[in-house]
Amino acid sequence: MIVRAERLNKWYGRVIALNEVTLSIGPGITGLLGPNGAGKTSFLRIVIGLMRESGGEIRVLGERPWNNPGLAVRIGYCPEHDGFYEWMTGREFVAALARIRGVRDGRAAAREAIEAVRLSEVADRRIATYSRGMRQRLKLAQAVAHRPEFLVLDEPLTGCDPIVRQELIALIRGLAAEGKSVLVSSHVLHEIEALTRTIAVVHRGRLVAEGEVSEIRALIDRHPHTVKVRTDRPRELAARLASDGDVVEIRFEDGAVWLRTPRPDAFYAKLPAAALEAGAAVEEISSPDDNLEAVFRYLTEA
Amino acid sequence: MLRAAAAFAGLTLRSLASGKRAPAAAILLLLPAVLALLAATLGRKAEAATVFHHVVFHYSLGFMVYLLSIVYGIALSSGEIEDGTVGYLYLGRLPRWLIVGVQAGVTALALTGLVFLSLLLTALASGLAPGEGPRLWRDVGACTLVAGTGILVALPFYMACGLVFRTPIGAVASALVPTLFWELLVTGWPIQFAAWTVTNNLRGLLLVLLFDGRPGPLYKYVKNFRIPGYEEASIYLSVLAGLFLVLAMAAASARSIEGKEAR
Repeated sequence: MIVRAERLNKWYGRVIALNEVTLSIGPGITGLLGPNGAGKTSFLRIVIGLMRESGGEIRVLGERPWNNPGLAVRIGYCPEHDGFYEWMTGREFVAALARIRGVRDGRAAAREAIEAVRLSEVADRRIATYSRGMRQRLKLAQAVAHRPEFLVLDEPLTGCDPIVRQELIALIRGLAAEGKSVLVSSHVLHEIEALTRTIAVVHRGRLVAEGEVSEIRALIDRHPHTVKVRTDRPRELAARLASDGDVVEIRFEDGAVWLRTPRPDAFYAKLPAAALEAGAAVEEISSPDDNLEAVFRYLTEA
Repeated sequence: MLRAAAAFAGLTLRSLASGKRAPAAAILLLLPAVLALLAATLGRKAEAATVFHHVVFHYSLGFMVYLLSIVYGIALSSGEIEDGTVGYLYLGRLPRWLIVGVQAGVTALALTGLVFLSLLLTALASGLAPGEGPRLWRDVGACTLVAGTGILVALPFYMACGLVFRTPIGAVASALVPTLFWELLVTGWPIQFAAWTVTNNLRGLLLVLLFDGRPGPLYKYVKNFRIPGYEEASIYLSVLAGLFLVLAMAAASARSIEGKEAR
């Protein structure tokens, strides 16, 4: 096991960040999914030894992470928030940190890491001039420069444009293919799905689900999905959509119809044809359940 | 580990010269020379050596040492936690107590070097006044030694404040309150406790190194207490420096680095 947490607790004053979390993480890529404030970052910071747990036990690579420099150099951490020596160049930053982590030839390690994250072109520019995507790559570069066994990535794709996102996903998968274990957190399910099949879901400090992505998806899909369609002919549209049992509840409001469906994928696939048949002009489609908070709430209740 | 420590010392040194702190430090370090220049050129009865002694006694050792130590002490602790760079440092090969030790040592040395330059400029500026000037290398050297001692005591104390208190504001407040009250006020009070301030102990060192043991007009404020002797002051300041350093190391080892999400 890479990480073994047993009834892990963490509180900040009266606020409980982690509540009796028992979780084992094995080799490969594991996703840690949860909305903002769920406790993901708190868990990751305890895993890497930056923060001390308030209760329970945690072992990483068989050792306690707190105040353990010998273990710390076996881990690579990519934090969520930016924290750089802005006056340094990217190359200097990665090289300095590699040396602090005991790498003999910091410059060579930095060169390799920077090439791996495709930051070579801007490596000799000051970090203060870097874009969001470059900063994310730089954080990844410093995390891998000292060749750690275990990577902990806190929301590595947040704020990145789709192209950078794809490149970072490919990079992370490449690192895992080299034999590194990776624990990556996100609040976006499809980001995690692009990286791994194994996920743990946290919500309000609790572990609410753990397992294969397909199992979690099935759990989510069992929960009826609410959709609001703003249209000029709500009743006609509702009649078409309700005809084959994909809709379990309908409610009308001025200029719109609210529908609940247990099969959202099939529903969305049918919607354009139904609108055409009904002669309805669809102005807007929205879903309060598209936010992860609603999903996590459901998982917690389940 | 030695290699990692050396690399970290280099990083600390580079950090000192960069960022927002450098201009503030430059102003603090140049101010005594400016004050000396003004006194030497505009003061009617100012004598060169007297100008130098007054500026060093009241400003360099009274304010500058503490302000410099607060600026860098808080930045090295609370500042690095706040800006997120501490996470990278604490995930290295060095244990936290050693990180604090290296930071304190490198910073104290660097600041002492800068104070030497500041005092040299002050001595040169004072020399523009009439009369016998300070004994350049001896007096500047002696004052640097005393100021360096003050930095060695104050810097770890302020680092400890930055590591114990959760926010930079809390750290600055915890640093400023004892400094303002104890060092700046109590130092001049006619009470026995005044002998225990760092400032009066530094002045005890200065009395021997600069004034050859002869307390002149600058020491007229001393009432109802005795300025500590050279040995007493050395022991007291060494103990304080050691205590504060151990406190800072312990605080670093015990400090959970909570992210911005914890607030």
